[in-house]
Amino acid sequence: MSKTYKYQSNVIVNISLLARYPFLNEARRYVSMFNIDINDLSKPEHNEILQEAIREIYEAIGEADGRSCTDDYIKLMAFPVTLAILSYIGSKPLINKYAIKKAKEIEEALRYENDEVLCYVANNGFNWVIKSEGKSIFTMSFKDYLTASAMFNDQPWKLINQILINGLVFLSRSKLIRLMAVEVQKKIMEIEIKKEEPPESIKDIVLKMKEKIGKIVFEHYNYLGISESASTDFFPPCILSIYNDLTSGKPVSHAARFILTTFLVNIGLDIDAIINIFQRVPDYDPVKTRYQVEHIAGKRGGKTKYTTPKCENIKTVGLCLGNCGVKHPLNMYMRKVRQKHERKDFSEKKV
Amino acid sequence: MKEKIFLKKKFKEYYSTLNVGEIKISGLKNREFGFVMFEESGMIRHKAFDNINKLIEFLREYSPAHAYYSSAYYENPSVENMNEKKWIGADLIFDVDVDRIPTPCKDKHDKWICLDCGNTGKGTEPKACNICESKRIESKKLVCQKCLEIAKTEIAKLVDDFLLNDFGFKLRDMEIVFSGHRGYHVHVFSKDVLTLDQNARREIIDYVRGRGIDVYFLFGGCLNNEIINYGPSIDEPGWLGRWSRGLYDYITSIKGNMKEKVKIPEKLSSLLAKNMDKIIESYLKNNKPLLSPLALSLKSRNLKLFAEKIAEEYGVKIDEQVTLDVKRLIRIPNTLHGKTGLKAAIVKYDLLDSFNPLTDAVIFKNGKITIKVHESPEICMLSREFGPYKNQIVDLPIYVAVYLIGQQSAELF
Repeated sequence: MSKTYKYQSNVIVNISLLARYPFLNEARRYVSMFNIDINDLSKPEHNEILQEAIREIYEAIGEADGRSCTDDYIKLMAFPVTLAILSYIGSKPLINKYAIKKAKEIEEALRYENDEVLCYVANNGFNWVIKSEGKSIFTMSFKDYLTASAMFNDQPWKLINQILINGLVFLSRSKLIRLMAVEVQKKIMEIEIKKEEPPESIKDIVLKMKEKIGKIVFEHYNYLGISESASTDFFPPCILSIYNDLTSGKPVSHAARFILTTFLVNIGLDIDAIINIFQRVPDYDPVKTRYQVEHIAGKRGGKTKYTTPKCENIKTVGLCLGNCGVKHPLNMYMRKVRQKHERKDFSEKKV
Repeated sequence: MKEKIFLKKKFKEYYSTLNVGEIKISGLKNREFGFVMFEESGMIRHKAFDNINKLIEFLREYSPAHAYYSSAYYENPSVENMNEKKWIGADLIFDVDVDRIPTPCKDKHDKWICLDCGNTGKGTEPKACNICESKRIESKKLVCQKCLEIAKTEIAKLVDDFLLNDFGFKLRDMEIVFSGHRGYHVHVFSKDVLTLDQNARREIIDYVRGRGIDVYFLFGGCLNNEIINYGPSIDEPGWLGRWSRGLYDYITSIKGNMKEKVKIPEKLSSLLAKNMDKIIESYLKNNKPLLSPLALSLKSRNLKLFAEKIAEEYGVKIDEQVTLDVKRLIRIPNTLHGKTGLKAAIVKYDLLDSFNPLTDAVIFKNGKITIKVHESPEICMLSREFGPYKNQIVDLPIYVAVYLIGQQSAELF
């Protein structure tokens, strides 16, 4: 149903543009002309592409060595390879991390483009019906706007707070760029996870990354400030149960998520670490999650940091699992941590 | 029971003389149909028809009290399992029902009874009985011309201001239908809405209802340290102008000592009263309201509250569930309503102004019948007045008899 607009008349579509926005339909068409089979990636002539694809993934987890590739051809060709590797690794958190990184990169690049290029990218990349009205104002069909802004929960993005005339939503440049970046993020997050064995050519990297992902999850436990993976030992039963449900992908109510988040915020877990825990839920939405976690942590809105509800209130919502002899879940946590350390001191003295 | 047989017989007459062309249904094959019969309670669902003739045949044979189709299109509309139906998309439906709009005359013609303690009251029924707190409340509501006029004004506002102007839908993609009872439906068939999910439809609802307006959007600021001089101009597009016109309307109505439309805190209303003349003057001069006196003395929270109240007042009071539901069953246009015998008539946009359901949706214009009316307030159909009646045996035109029997206010004599 894509509408074909002739943006090309004003926009020079060259390989540099395609490399910057490799999700474009035009980029896909270009890449497909070279007809590189995934099994051929191990061939020496494609080595650079494979290496760039791998580097991209490392960069997403903050471990890239070396600078980003400057060759447009390599960069462009590497994009689908990165996606293929990610889909074989099959880790949602990793895919999400890459999606966020890529979205940031693209948001940055879009800021330097002129209005015509923005329209071209939005249309060719996402099939949005979009037009530049001059003076950095754009119009977009309300249908595309509603779909594109679905991830944004805050009031300024609501349809009622847009100028809507004759089916067209009027947007500033910065709003449009934000929508586009999130669209890229969504597109990447939606890639299909492959269950089958990876092809030989990328098997090594897939296995290596899989092992690494295990370690990353392990490291998140360390954020708890206690250097061992079993730090959840100190969680009171109600919190532990929510945590376990959440990480095993079971549906968890809004109230339960709120309780868990306030708990994690208060024991000093940092925001990214909390978001990482939520990445494992099936309806994970990075924008909403970040917004809510930041809100609870007092980084947004009223700037109040929420404390965990007391036991009485947890009982009211039916999430209390038993009589722990405390009035507040945080008390229980503190007590357990203290006990552990006292025991440690004791044993050290003994030695 | 004989009343049901009578109604069914009448409905059968209507459907057997109905022109096939009177019922037009786009995407008929992919819709689910549902019917409520006169002789049994409950709904027959998950029906599907290959073509309009088969549907008409069905209507003629069974003459149901109520006939519905789904706003949704499915790959397998007749499968019972909702997931296996395979949803393709859905029309966008709006429902404006007087039940949801407070009208002054409801106290006169609507009443309710608590099924547990027998307590009765007039006007719109409460959520729970004020004596025994039971929620089993039965209400009796009249189809009243005044109420219907108010519903029509809302529909006109919805169609003109929102659907045509703001959303840019075309008249050819729209159908305005009298519900057959106490309101109107608007169906939007545009492909632009077909695949919108509930989140997107929620946004459309909020837009139409005027919910969630942001002071930052209206005034470009709301915090105390930002100076707000003027509100938006009345001729600005979309909600900016609508809000501004709403405020003007509001202020002139309190100036004219009319009943307050919006309940606002006292402090705010006295502030408004004090600055009313200045605000009206700035409207006359610049087409926009001078808001600096308000912004300076109001806490941003109160300013926000005030802005939101004005917007909600000037939105359209649609039934949200109907618009939100992407699998809704909705009355088929030009079929009959079993509780009134009135036709759920399609109203041409150009004729909306003059459309009067109690004339234009009346069927069964020939013949008379004697019925026993238990109780009925005065009603007006085809410009003739009937009643009020209380335990009376009367000779009435068929259309009035069908209406009163449908309302369970009368029985055959």
